[in-house]
Amino acid sequence: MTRLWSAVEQLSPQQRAAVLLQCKEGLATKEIAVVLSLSEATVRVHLHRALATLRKRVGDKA
Amino acid sequence: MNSVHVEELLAAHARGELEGAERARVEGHLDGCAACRETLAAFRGLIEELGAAGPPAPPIHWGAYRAELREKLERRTAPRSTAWTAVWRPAPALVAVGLLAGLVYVGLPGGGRGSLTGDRIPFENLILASRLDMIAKLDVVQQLDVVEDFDVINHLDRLSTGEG
Repeated sequence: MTRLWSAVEQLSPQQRAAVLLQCKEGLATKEIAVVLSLSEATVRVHLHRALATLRKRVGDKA
Repeated sequence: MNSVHVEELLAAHARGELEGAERARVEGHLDGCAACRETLAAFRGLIEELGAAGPPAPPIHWGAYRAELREKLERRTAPRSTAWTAVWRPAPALVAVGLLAGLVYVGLPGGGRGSLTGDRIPFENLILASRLDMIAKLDVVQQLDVVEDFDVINHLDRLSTGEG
């Protein structure tokens, strides 16, 4: 497993779910909000924080 | 939406999901902010790599996700519970006792009103008995917003065991 996926594993459950639904399932923010029963704004925050954390942990070039 | 910091919109912008005023706002900010341009480029790289064919994605831990939601729900309902469940704490027991007394009364020969005769008596008992499960968990039901947490109420068994 690459460093990037290891870093994904360490995200909080909500952040990890949002990232995987977006990148692996190809869902839009609005769709992720429906799946996770969250508001779109909350999903955006989760995705932003998840990507910021991944960037910090693996660097700009994973 | 103006209260949202532009930085929090970068992930959505990297996916091309922003439209109209939001998109214009982010693009206007990017023109004058090198740090956010770098963040946007980094986010695009991460999104591309995460979406690329590679090792299988780790599973979404739905159990952990539900546990997180349950914890959030408990935190949200806890303050209300101290306020008035302290006053109404005897209520579930009193209601249960009342219903049981009703069951006994209706079930006794000659008990109940004249209309509750024949086949209707077992039927009434069945309805009352079916409500006892909910009364047993009334302390949980009392802490929920009925509409918002209707799903939780419907899955009380899962809530208590962590299954589902």
